[in-house]
Amino acid sequence: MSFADLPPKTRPYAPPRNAALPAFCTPRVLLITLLLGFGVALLLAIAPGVAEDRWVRLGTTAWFVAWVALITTGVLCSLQKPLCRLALPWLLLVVMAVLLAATALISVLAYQTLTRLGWNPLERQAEFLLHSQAIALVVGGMGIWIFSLHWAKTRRMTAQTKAELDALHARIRPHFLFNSLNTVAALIETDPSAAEAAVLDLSSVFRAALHAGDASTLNEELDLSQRYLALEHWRLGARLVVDWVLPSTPLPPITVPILTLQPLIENAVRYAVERSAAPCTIRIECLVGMQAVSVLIENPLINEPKAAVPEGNGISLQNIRDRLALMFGDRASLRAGIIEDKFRVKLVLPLDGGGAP
Amino acid sequence: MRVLIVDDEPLARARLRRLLQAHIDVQVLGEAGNALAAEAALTITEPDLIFLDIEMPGESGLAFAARLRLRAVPPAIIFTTAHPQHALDAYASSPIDYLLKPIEPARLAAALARASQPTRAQLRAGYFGRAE
Repeated sequence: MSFADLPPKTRPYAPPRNAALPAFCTPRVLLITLLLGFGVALLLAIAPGVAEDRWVRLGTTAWFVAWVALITTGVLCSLQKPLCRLALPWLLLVVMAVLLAATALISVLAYQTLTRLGWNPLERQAEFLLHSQAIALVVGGMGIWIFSLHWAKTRRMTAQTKAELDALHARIRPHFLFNSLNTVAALIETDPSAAEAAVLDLSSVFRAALHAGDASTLNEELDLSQRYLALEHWRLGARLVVDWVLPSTPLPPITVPILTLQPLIENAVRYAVERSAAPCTIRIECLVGMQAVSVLIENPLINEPKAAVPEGNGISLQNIRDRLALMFGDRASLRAGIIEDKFRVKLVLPLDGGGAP
Repeated sequence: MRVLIVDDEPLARARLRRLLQAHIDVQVLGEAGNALAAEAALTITEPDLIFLDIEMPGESGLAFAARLRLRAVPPAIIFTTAHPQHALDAYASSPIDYLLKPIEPARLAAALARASQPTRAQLRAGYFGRAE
């Protein structure tokens, strides 16, 4: 069985695109846009070196900015649905284009109307247009930059919160929790020190689930995976066979998101070992290259009726990918697929550490 | 009462076996790790009662229990599982009881008492002649 067989609820989750896109059609967004616009008008009016009366300048600029803000928000509001489908860079480009177009329109209209009303401008229409475009570009650019920061933060928090929630959910699944507690209850009488070890393993697995948003190291992740497997080993006995292939030299100190590795191994246990009555081998291989470390996790495909296996979910591949992307950009990868009769997951981590480009 | 323990987790079987030691009238005939092995054990021994786990590799405990019901003289069944949500489905195979893991000794005692207590209908039909 593989991830492709998972019920819809547990399929790798794809967040709706641009979930952080502000709803342009709400009065609140309109009010904020207008207030920001008046802020810009105020800056332009109190800037040193202005020859004309500051109050008059504030009044005319505020009018100008209000119209630009209204038109921009109005156009974006009417385009809300198609905009939500765009990827972020294109979305920002469209927003900027709408802002510039609205500024150009109002510039021309304002120049024509005001000169007809007797305004005596110091600059020609082309210069006036160019200056207003430059101001719109700078202000729009700052707005987009702040929005991008906010968006990245929201995305990170969403991925981390989701990972924590899923990890906790997987831990308090009755199948894992109560069977593990039953294991401890069984060991207490026969082998108290093994019972103690099982409780300690259980607590480290729970602690990791509470901190899924944090960073860890590859060594700690391997340690957590071993503790998790020790726990499953008590439960599943001889059916669980783990074939570790680790390099003889110590692993480089790579920073990784917590719960990058263990959920992959847990999937192998749940979809292969728990469904197999005969001993089932999970192969975990760690390869250190010049620029990257790869971890391969392989389990045989077990074709058993699904009814016997608990439904439920852990951390999805997509969530691990999201958190890897936040830490490494596109330098880390996670691929999964069926090769011959094995389900194989390959995790590649860059050696030069974290920090998305 | 002669019982068979069916559970895919060896430690879960060991714990149940240990809990059953407190009941002198209970004799554990054997253990099985899945439905297939349990069925094989049934051809050799004839347990009065089966402690049956639900989530096992291969056939689930629920499906196995449903098949057991079709026998002329089916053994009594007590489900043992970590999942409370199977209780309603389990009801279909009219088990004696449904025990949640980790099993409480008092709950186990109550389930065994219920298993050894014949119903009026069973007595009238002449079932329990050889149950004790």
